[in-house]
Amino acid sequence: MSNTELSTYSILESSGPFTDPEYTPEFGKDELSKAKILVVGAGGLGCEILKDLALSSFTDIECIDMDTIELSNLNRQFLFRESDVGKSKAKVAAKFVSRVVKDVKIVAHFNRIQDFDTDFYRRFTLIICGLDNIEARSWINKMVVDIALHHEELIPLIDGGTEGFQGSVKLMIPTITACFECYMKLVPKQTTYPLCTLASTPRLPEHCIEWAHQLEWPRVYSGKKFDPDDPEDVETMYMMSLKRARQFGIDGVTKSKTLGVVKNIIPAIASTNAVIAAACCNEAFKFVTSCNPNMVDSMYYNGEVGVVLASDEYHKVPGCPVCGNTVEEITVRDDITVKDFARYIKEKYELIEPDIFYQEKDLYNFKGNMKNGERRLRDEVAFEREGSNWRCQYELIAVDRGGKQVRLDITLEQ
Amino acid sequence: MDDKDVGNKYDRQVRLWSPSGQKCLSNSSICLINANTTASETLKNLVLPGVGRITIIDNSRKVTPNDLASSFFLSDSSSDHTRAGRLANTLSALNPDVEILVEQRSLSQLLFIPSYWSEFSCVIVSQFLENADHERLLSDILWRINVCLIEVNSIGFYATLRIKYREQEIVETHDNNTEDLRLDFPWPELQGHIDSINLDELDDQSFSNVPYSIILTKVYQRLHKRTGKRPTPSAVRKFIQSELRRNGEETNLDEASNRAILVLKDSREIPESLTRIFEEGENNDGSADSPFWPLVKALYFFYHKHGLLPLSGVLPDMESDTEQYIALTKLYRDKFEADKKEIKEIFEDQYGGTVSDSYLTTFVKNCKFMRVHRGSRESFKASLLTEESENEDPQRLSNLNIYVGFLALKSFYYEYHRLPSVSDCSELRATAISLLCHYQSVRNFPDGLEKVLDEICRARGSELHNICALIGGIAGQEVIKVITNQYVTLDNCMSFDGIKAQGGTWRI
Ligand SMILES: [Zn+2]
Repeated sequence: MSNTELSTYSILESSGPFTDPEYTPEFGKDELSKAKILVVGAGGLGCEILKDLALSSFTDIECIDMDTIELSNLNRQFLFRESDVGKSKAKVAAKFVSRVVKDVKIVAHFNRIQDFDTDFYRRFTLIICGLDNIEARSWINKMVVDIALHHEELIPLIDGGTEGFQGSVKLMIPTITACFECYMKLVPKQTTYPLCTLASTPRLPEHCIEWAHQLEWPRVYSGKKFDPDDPEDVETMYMMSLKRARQFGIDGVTKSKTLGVVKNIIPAIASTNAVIAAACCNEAFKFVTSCNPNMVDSMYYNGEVGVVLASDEYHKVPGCPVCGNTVEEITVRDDITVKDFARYIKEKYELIEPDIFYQEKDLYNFKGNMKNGERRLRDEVAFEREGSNWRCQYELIAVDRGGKQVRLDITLEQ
Repeated sequence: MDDKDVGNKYDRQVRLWSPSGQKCLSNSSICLINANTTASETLKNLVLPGVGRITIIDNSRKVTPNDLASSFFLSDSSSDHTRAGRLANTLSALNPDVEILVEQRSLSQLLFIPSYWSEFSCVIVSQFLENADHERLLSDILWRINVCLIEVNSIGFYATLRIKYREQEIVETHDNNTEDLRLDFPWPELQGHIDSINLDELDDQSFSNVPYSIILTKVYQRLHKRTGKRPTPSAVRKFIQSELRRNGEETNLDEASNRAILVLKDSREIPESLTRIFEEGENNDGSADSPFWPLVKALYFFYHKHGLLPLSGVLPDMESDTEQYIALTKLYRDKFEADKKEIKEIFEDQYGGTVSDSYLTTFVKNCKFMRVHRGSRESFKASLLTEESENEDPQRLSNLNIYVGFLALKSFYYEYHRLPSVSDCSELRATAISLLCHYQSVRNFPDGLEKVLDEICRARGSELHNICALIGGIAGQEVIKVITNQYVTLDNCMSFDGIKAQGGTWRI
């Protein structure tokens, strides 16, 4: 028995009071040794995740990260040293963990996630994401949902995210539970400043900095892109912003704030990453071995005031553009007009001006002047009798301006 | 944040606790007792952000296979065979700014040198001490000199954390509600400014640039005059819609409508936490080296005299033009400075103290949301179980059961000098029963405790790395909050359930 097996194996050795009655130690150990885990991101969360997985007796791990190491990573990305600055995060992290934990094999990819195709991702038992940008997480999410839809293989996705003293973990089983996109409506929109505020009526130091960043820099240095990692560029940007702020009598422009705004810096600390990464890997360990049940859908953490650590259910969003490929069964009154029906669908599924159609034929749209709005739905589409009710012979589809799609199976009742 | 720190390795954290917090960290000295996995994970989260010095007390214990199995920082490459030595080696490499010392003396020796402990900002005990006497001695010493003691434990899928800190005064709580508009009590200069703006005379452009706080104050005052009462948000929204709207495009009016709820905020009201601080402040002379309690008295005097706290001076962004917004900012800042000056004068006249301008500024800005924590040394409070059983929140009861489970585990450890295994379930249950009888709280075994004890035995005394890392993260964070004296420290105990991914917290 190897070293890391000692601690995990004593848990796997027997069932606990909460373990599924079907569980056997052989099953748990076997699944653990067979599991192939993909870690996306080798930054603050990724370093922790790789360490946690290795010490949870996972032996077959791959890791993707396209970034290189920066000095400001070192306050939390503990697998990197000052001498590593400039090297691939994925490669340095993988090498470090494999050196410390003898039994683990970690393959590093110094790549973008988009460099790999479906067949690459299909090889994994489970994927853990420790990224800070929404686009990449959405991309991975879509990948695992598509694999579930087209290949009928369920690859659970565990997503960790942190900001300052706060963080969250989402456990997502593609097409079964809410997907990453389903959670997106909880995410606050990023603050953007209206251009006219920047151009003529600045009030905050941020307005002066964004003015310099978006308007003044391109005007003065047309063609030369601003490089936030070049100290000289940062200094110039800072002086530009400061000059603007002084001109308008606005306080609070500092170099630190300038960099924070132009790089969209999110504060980060080691302890929050430790909590969130560990929670991700704990769920991965339970999922793969079945030694204890998993949490419900998502966990939220906040350490600003005391310690808040709570998990909660989260339901799939019907009509989710990524995983909402299921048919919604709804019942409406048999005398409903097309227009009222369209409004009802719009509100129920929070759609923005949806087009409703069936078999490529338009039933209703909010922009055009459809003449059939006042007519009854049952006169516009074919229904057939089903008991005392009427059931639509076609599946109706509503697609909104944001591409969100809902498939509808309609029953009319009196 | 000082510009000299821009882009350096602490950049991302200094944005949370500012250079003053970072300075507290780099001047701090932490002591850690028992160098197991939970301990090493906790220390990692303190070495990385750059605490000053760490002293490890581990009674020269050797590295065991169990340690190697779950700890990343005890890897067997170094020739040192003691846990503390190895841990010091590997952790030092994480951050050259941190000094890490291994204490050669044993804990039992050190417990007879009370002065030894006074240099520490915080003492962390991971797992259990050898016996109840050590536990009592250590907590007595630290309590007397008001050094924070954090006890952290993990076994299998469960973990607990307990903070024993006699008292902590936190000024910088980083509360999100420090904005104070004074819609209902404008001071004369603000009132003058508001009166100087005649909405009816403004052209559409200038009208749409009047900040929403001015709109809301005007509406508040007009409605108040009509009815003699504080207006409701819906009345405010109605007024804006029917009497102020011109072309429907005024974003300042949208902002005012969306924030109409602010008219309900009574500027005279203070949070209960501050009321309690005032009550305590009457009899507390504090210590000579901190101006906190005398300032609380000065603040109370101020509040008593004006019926209001000093203005925080924090103004949110509002749709406006540069000129109007800057004018408003200046009014709020001037009022803040005037209130601050008055507090300073009361403080100097009546309490004869001196205080730095930066401390005073922080104090006045945050005074509404300050916190004072009074800790306790007790391990348990009998009423908790009764309360939680009646509460009918199964998760909270289940988390409390985990905390009780660890108390039973500790008693078991003190008695048998080992951790329980699967065959010890009945002994652990017996221990739990006698423990609960000791607290006289329980007529019957709490619902679900038996399962928790069985799950504890199932772990066979081993730590799971993920759970150690998680509770080590929380422990590290709480130490940072204690040292920087920023944000709000856990008051004062919690347990974590790694099966349901739920935490529960209580005050003992
Ligand atoms: Zn979805």
